[in-house]
Amino acid sequence: MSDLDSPGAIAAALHRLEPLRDVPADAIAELVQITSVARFGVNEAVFRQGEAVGSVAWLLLSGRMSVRVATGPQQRIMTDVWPGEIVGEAALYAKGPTRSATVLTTAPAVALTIPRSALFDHPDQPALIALEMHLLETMAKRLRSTNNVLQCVVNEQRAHVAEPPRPASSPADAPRAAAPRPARPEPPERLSLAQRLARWFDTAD
Amino acid sequence: MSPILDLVTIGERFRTVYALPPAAAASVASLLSVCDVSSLEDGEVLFTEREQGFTAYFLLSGKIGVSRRDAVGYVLDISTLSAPTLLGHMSLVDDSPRSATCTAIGPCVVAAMDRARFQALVAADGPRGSVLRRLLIAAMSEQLAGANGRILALIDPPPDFPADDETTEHGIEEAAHVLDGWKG
Repeated sequence: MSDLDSPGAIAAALHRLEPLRDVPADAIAELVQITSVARFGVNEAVFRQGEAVGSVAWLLLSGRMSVRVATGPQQRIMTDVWPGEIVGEAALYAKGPTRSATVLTTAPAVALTIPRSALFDHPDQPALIALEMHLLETMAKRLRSTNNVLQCVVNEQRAHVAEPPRPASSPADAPRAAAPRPARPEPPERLSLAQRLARWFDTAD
Repeated sequence: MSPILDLVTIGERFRTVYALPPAAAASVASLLSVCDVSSLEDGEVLFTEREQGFTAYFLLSGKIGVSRRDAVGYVLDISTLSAPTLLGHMSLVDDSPRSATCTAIGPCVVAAMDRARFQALVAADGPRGSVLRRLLIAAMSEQLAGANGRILALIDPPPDFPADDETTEHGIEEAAHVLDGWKG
């Protein structure tokens, strides 16, 4: 990590990240000034699920982290975090009261700590704008993926559990108001995962 | 006919809901001032699933029902959105077709922003660009957190729950794949 010991080295590392590659050097230097650098050892918590959400996010510059979520007694490793990725962005943009996951380092890591105040005090900072644009694209991909998987599982469940009565006309072409909603079968007493997912999909609000 | 609106008050509502700093209310109002405001009647469709999207909307008052069709043509009611919120923005963020149909539930007022203006503002500096990006990220962050939370609840069923068929196993794998994109 000796190569990330000075502001100049941090700036150079930032400039190598894909989202910041086209940002002018002086804007990168300013980003270094309005943020701070955090260094973590191995297996160190950046933040923990259930903690107050705080007001900072982290842009990983070097090393590796993993995102884990505890559900009951189990802890699931959701994904690895690589340099150039941001963790904890909900603290900057959303209003949830607590962290929804734990992030642990899996190798020595250096991260840029981005405080909420930096965003609010420097709305025209080109490097922060570039990071926000990168976040927008990333989140759009995650949301599309979520929608598609939900639809896929629901479709599988419907095909697997029962063959329901089909609408009389071509369903894809009919206007929504004109399409009669077929009666749903009575739910079984014990529902499989896919069935529960289907019920959620039908009734989510 | 365009309704007469108090954009500052509406901007303040957006600011509160999306936890923006106090000065952002005026920026939201400024953002809305460059949109085309229109009213919808009950049952009026704002946009339809699978069509190409050229407009993002701010729901200023009322409620919008979100629905999709499944593979055999059933209309699935996914959610109901209440003002103030954003909708239809995904198609402009990633150039993809509409993923759902949005229909007015009762009378609504929406502010529409066309693709050209959206793309210019979202990458712009200044208060309008800044507040637009933050509204978008906050809206998507909430959507994602809600969806991930529900999926997590489903992949960790109660202990007495049987995981006994291929569909269930496949569902778990698919859900786990989705969660690969999660960053807390």
